[in-house]
Amino acid sequence: MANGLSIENISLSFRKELFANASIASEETGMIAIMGLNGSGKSSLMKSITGEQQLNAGEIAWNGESLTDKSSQDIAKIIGVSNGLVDIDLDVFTYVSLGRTPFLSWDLNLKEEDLEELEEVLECLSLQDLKHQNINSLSDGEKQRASLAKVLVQKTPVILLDEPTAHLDVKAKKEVFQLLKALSQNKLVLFISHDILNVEHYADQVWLVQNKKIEMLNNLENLEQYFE
Amino acid sequence: MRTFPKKQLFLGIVLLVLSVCLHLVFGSVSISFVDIVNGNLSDLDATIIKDLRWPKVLTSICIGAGLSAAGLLMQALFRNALAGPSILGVSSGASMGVALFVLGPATWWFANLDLLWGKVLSAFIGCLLVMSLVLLLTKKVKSNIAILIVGVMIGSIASSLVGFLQFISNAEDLQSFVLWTLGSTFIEDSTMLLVLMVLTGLGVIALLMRKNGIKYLLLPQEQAQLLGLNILSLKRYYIIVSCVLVGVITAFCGPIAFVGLMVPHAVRYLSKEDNPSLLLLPCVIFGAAIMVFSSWLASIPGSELSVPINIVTSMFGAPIVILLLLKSRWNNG
Repeated sequence: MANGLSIENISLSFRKELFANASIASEETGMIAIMGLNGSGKSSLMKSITGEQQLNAGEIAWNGESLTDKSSQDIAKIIGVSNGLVDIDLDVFTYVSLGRTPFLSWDLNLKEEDLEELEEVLECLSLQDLKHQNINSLSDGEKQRASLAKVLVQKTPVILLDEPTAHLDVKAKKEVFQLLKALSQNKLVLFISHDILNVEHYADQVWLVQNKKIEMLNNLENLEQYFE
Repeated sequence: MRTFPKKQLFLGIVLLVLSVCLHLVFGSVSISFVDIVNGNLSDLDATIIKDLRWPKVLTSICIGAGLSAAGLLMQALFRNALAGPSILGVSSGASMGVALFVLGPATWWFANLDLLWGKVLSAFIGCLLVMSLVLLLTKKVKSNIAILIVGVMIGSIASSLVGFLQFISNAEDLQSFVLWTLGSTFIEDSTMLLVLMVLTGLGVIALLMRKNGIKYLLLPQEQAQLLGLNILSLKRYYIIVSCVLVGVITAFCGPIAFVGLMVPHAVRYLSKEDNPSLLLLPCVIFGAAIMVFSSWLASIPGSELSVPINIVTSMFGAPIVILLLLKSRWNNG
């Protein structure tokens, strides 16, 4: 079986039928935008990949290994989910450190290598100066960065993001997209977005969710035509 | 690795040592600190220290440490500043157990037990009953606010049962029960004191061992699961240990008010720390110190009188909670 993320013949009904025998596959790396109209099933697709949403039929696999039978801890070592605009009463450092959870033992103590990992990521995302601040006191752009940092310390080969640039201004949007682009060199970055212009500019591929199927678009020019 | 600011931890330990010294030295009679240390005491003074003041100090440490730890846990579990042992209905459950024993039919069930052990057993059973019920309902009820309301409602049912039993009981039983509800830091029987110390100690250690998990309680459940954490089993662990702590302490000492609510707020305010995992140890130490100090105040040093501990904890605890709430960021909507 091919490497990368493969979604095979999935069917899912949740209040209404969202997917009927839908299939699609990705490479091991790259930047894929998941697009579709509201209610088309984009978020449900993401939840199916993380195992939060049980499928009625079909299978989702990473590098040939089915994710369906894996424990949530094993899945958390493969797939990291960025929660975007987090609302939590913790300081940045502690929040970002939560990304190490899948690797911790029963007492959930951070070890030396976890801390090194953390410092590296905080440095890389220029969060060092903010690390003692409460998440709730950050700007939306900084919150997105903190959320991304949490996923990066999780060191997963796949990253999922639900509208990572919602509520961001033009400059912050550009920063996030550039960062995702850089990450997609050696990770698979899947993100839901309605931002046609930036998707055309940054994404390698679009997965269009509509009519209970997932359609792959490789030519990203004039994306607007698909939503009319 | 970040730990709780050492300065505050040091302050807590100093406060604890000072309170213990105060409690040992000043009471209805003053006994010189130097004599206590040297063991140079008259028979009467030795008895006062050994049989009266040390038991009070040790009991207070257990109450303060256990209830403050349980209070911090409950505030994190329910992400609610007002959560505390009494809110979950756990304290009311204990009261119901004791009321059933002292005022009602349970006297016949445990007819062979003396009053104190009977109270302990029935309070513990009452706690377990409420705890199991809340636990059972947390499986069905997902939202934290709903769980909190369930706790309050179950507490109300327990309280109404207590009220009914008080209404139909005779004067003598009623007095014994009311005395228990006022709280006490004095346990006469040394075996019972040992049992309290061991159980509280084990509970606090069980929480300290998994203190790093407390911060996950602030995350929405789905997010914790996406990190591969079995958040439900973690929650269950904390709920069981907290309830055991509250149950045991309430059984031995009565429903002690405000400590579980006040200490976590005070420690959070003092340290400006957001991560509840780092607040656990300071809560235990500050809780013990504040409780020993309250117990000392309740003994009204220099007089023959003493007042029940709850009068002190409520009189000082309630205004302090209000003050801290006004000053803290919990106040921002």
